[in-house]
Amino acid sequence: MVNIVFNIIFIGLCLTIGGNKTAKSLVSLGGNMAILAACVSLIYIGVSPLFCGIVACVAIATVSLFYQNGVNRKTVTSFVSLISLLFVLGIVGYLLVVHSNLQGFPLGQNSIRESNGYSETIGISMVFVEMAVILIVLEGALVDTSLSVMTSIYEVYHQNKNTSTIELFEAGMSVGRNILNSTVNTLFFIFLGQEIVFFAYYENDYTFLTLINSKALLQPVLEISLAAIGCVLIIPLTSYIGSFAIKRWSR
Amino acid sequence: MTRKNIAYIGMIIISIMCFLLIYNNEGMYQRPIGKVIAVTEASDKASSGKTKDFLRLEILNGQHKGEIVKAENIVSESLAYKEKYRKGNFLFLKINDSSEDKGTLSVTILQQKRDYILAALLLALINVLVIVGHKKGIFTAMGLIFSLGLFAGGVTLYNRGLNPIIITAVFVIALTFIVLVPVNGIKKETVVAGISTSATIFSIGIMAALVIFIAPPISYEFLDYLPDQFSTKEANYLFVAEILIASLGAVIDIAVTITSATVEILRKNPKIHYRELAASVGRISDDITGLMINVVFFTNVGALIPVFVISMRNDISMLTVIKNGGFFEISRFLIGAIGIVAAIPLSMFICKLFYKGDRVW
Repeated sequence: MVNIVFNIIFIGLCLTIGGNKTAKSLVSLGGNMAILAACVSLIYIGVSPLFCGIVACVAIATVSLFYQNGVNRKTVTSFVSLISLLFVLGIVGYLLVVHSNLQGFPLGQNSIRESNGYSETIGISMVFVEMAVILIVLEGALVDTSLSVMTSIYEVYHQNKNTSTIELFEAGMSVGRNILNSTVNTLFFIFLGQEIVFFAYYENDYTFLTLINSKALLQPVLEISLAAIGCVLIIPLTSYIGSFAIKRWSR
Repeated sequence: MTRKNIAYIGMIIISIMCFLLIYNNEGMYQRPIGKVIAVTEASDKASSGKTKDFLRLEILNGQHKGEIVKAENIVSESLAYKEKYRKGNFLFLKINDSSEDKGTLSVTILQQKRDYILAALLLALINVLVIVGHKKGIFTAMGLIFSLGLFAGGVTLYNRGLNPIIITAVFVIALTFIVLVPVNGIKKETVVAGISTSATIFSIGIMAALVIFIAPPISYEFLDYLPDQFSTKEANYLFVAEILIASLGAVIDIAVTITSATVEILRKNPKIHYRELAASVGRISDDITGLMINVVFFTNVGALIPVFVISMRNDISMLTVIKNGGFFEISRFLIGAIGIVAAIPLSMFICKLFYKGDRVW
């Protein structure tokens, strides 16, 4: 009920305050929700969660980059660096999840428990589901930064076509560094908000020493850390690819 | 080799050393820790889809250091609750008292040791921030550490009985400046952005509180980790605190962007008409709004995927999950999104308030 009201307020604000592009972003938000719903449904039917996660990421990038900003050199380059970093961090994430058993649900939760009727015999690998989560959260964070960096390199180049590749790279890095603070803090505060109840009451189930070794803490920390590390690493990656690509195109 | 590069390499080396220290810190723990040296899987599967793994462990600390013991671990196919331990994992053990006299030890697995993973992730993040971000990265990393400290302080105060809304209010104001000042400096612009952020958060907070007050009571069954006895009032406070803190980061981002854009426009044209200002700012904000909303959406709702999967496989419909299990994540996203959109006019308005007239500092 409460959420329905919030929904109405949100959509109302968007339409009154925002311009055309904000209305467009409502549409792409709807698109992203649909992608997420489709992803979950496919996993439910039995399609490999990892495959669903990857397809969802490509689809999300398509909606967020290409629908909202058009198919042009900026968005295509962003897309390439996005997917590359997703691939690398995806592998790192997978190794960490498997090694540290960060899939599934931690103990101490009230809601999702075997005793509440949530049987774990579901025939789906929660490791791959966790991978899908990591990839999707990561991608949400990367798209923003990647496009911003690429856009600024594009602008700098078009101001002065004699700018060297190194100068273009530095321009991208500079813009990236400016927005670094904001993006990392956005992720961090969402993490804090998510875990506030957990931190307030963890003493019911954990001591400090068991806490720092627990799945309950490490699982969200892994998701957010990978997203934060990703949105920092995408800056040099996009700057690098972008500065070379833009010179190449204009030959 | 510049001084900067030497410093970076030094930082990486220190980080690796810290990591190795924590990786090998069994001596610091009182509980016995065993390292998995071999895993044998049972050849036949029980009907419930669960199998038994037989583990061989070497005890690394305490009076039984060096001894090899055996342990059993029940593993499910999905691993939704159970954990599969592999060679190289470290496990906290309980040595069953009765077995000590008989000569061969029998142990129970308590928990997996993961502290070095936590260290690795945090160290990696800090290193990456400093090496890629240079000065701004260092300030961001410091901001994160301060924020975490303040957050821990806030939680302690809450446990001592202080009202969470007061804590959140102080937290929001303090944090806005901790995040903004190091990176942007103590300028009028920074202060104005900070005031815009606080104004936005308070407005949303009041709106959210009103909605919660008027609407039918929220069922807090699915708010994890809430202790069994809680009053709805307490839970409502925590809920509001939760959604406000979650949206703080995004609101700061927008407030800073809009403030600097507005200041730029006002600098070039101090006597600009309000309507023109709104149009210009609107054009700039349009670009970032969509992307920010996406970030907030996926970070909050992404974590719901496992909930959906296990619920739907247990015959609970997607709609029910959205209304119950996913309620809190979706609220956080919606409030974050409302904050992003609301911050635009609020920042612009407050900016105009502080910069009216001919002189812009």
